Amino acid sequence: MVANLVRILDGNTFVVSDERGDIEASKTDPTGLFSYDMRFLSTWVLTVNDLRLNALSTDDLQYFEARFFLVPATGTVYIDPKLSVIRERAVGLGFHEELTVLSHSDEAADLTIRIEAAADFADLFEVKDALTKIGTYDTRIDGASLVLGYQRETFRRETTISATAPATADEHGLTFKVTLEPHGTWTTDLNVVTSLGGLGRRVTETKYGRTNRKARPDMGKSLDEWINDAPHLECDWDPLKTTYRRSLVDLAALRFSPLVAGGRSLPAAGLPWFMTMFGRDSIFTSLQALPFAPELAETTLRVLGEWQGTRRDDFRDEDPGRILHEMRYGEMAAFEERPHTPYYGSVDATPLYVILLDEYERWTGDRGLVKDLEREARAAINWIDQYADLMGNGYISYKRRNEKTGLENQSWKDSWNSISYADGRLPSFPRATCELQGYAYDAKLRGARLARLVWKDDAYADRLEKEAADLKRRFNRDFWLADRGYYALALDADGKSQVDSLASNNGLLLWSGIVDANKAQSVVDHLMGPRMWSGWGVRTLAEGEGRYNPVGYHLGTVWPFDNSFIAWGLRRYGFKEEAARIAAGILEAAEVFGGRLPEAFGGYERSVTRYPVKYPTACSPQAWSTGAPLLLLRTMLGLEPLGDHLVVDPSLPASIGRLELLDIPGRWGRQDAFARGRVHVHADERAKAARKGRAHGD
Amino acid sequence: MADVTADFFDDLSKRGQEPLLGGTRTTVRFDIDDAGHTDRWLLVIRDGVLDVTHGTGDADCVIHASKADFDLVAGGRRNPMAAALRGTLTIEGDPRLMVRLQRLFPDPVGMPEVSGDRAVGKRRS
Repeated sequence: MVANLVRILDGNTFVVSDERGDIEASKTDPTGLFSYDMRFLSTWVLTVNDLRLNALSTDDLQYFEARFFLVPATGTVYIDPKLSVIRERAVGLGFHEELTVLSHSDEAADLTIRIEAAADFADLFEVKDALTKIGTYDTRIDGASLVLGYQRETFRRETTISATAPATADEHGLTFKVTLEPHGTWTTDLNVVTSLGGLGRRVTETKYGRTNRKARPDMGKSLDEWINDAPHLECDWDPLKTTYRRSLVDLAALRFSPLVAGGRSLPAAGLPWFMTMFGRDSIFTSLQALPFAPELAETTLRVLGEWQGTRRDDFRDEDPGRILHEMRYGEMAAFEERPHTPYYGSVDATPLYVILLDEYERWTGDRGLVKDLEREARAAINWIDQYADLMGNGYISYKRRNEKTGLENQSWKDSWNSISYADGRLPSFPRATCELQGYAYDAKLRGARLARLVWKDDAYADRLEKEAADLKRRFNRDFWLADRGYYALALDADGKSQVDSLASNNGLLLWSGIVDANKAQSVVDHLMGPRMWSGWGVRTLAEGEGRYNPVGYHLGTVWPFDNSFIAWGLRRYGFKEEAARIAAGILEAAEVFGGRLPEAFGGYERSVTRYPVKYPTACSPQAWSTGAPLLLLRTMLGLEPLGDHLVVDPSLPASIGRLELLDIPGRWGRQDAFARGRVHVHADERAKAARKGRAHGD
Repeated sequence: MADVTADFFDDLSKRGQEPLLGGTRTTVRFDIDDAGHTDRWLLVIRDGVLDVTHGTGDADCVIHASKADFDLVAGGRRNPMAAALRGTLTIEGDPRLMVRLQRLFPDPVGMPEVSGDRAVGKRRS
């Protein structure tokens, strides 16, 4: 049952319960109290006189707290309940729950109120894969507290459950014997404290208490400060205001302060299963959010730099200079049954790291960070040629060295069948997908700029520029499908064969700037043509390809994150109206989803389904979907740093009307941007797309 | 039998300069429990220059482990972060330092130490 789950979180501690506030997790069921990638409560069930309760209403007040209004199950709506129950829960270092029982009766009542509790200490990976545990469980009654423990060698995790009202603890929960006066009230605080033996500081109480409920992110800014510091948006089209607000709030919830960040935060990948560092997701989201919250980029760069690979480790797919893919803290990572301490099997995060560092400096002028991270940036650039060219043909490619638990596809389209020929065949490994070469090109040019500007190493800059120019020339020869007019999705393991299906990766190539100016129009015609353009956005894979499926994960769905970067690419090459069409399509989809874009939605033709069909995924919000409206605001307004100034060059859909984005932070201090919608995106789209004579980027 | 831990510190003292710790300035003490006594090593890092002494002193951060467990990490047979998550290697002080100090340990060799039959991965050594 996935419907009506209530999720609240604080960093990587989160609670997923049903709408009554109860948790009854089976081994593979994704409910419970989780922290540091382990489940600390798998049962948490409230009864009154042995009866379960029914939910009247549920509110998630803020991302870290929820309130449940309940009544005993009477079996019929014709009997008014004699009492009601309120549970208010705030998560943080475990959770704090205020339990209140209200009498609606003229008579006193003797009640047995019970909380049933258990912990299976499942690793997140075990919840996905239904594995059995190796360690042993123990239970301890400590006065009126119940302590649930799990021990495997020196690995210790503990859940301590206590209450402020008099209670009797047994091995399966706490019981309260209560006499409730007529129209009286009874209340208690329940505290569930999670502790990690040996790791981090010792935790003895929950983060939030009864008198202490103001949001305290571990990371600097409160939610109010976060919203106030972001640019202010005004516009004629109300749904955009809703989407913008939703994006900012969700991005705040997705802030994650990993153990090593010194209290600063970076965007985690998604709620709740991906509340951890992901190289790719954190970098893409930081790029999207740069004009709105540049501090995310700073932390992302610093933390990913701390964890940058320094050795060859086949189990972790680690190389010197490589940027991590994913970090996990659970039992399976600890015992090296999974490689996530951290796992480095991502092939795009490393060049993207350099791209983010440069883009961050362009917006903020913070040369100090560029200076601090010189070694890391150089190591990342070095990785491209020294470790990522597996086929020796001058291109980044990937093939996992950990064949058991490593990732097969190490670029953003990471599902097993995402990279295919037009006839549906899958290429072998190593694979060189096209967008990786674009990132390498962009990383070298940006690295050269930083070398000249900050590191004062002109010889290095010259070398990188020469390598980038050479890469662009070779790429436009080796990946271009002249008879089709677009770039191959990848080169196969022989280093030569072109994987010939038409995919959205072509749009990311525009973003990187590796596309020859004289090829851009043809690429854009394909992206905005009927096989790729669904009416809401650009599909991951073109209709008509062997594996095309409008609800296949990377086989035809529309990804908001992907589209936001394609729109940026279109702007880079001067295709302002096409960028506006993408922005309009994705933002109109966001309206249907109440301002919160899913990770992906179906690639069905818009005129057929009329509304976007959400792709079912476990995580919502997802960081880079949350960031997509932000990047689309940038592309619609044509925001671009130029020296110490912010250039505004709008291309806004007419349907949005007037748009103001006020107090955009950057090296200029704060600046405003104004635009009026003039692009008619729904008028004969194909005729517009075919129109020639554009200005070209680069 | 070779003393892996002693060899590790010996190697550090000979290394002199570790470019991966450029910009790092800190003092770390390693308290290694061995058959009822604690062996202490003090590592001073000044912008990548390493100075190792076999003995005690004030430190910004103390890393604590049994001799057997530290041998595994120092010999490249167990990942330092995994050891910390397991609780065999504990850190008093700023956990960020642990991430930095990982860079001092050797490349992994052989198969990872695993319990039960859920061994994963294979490594080229």
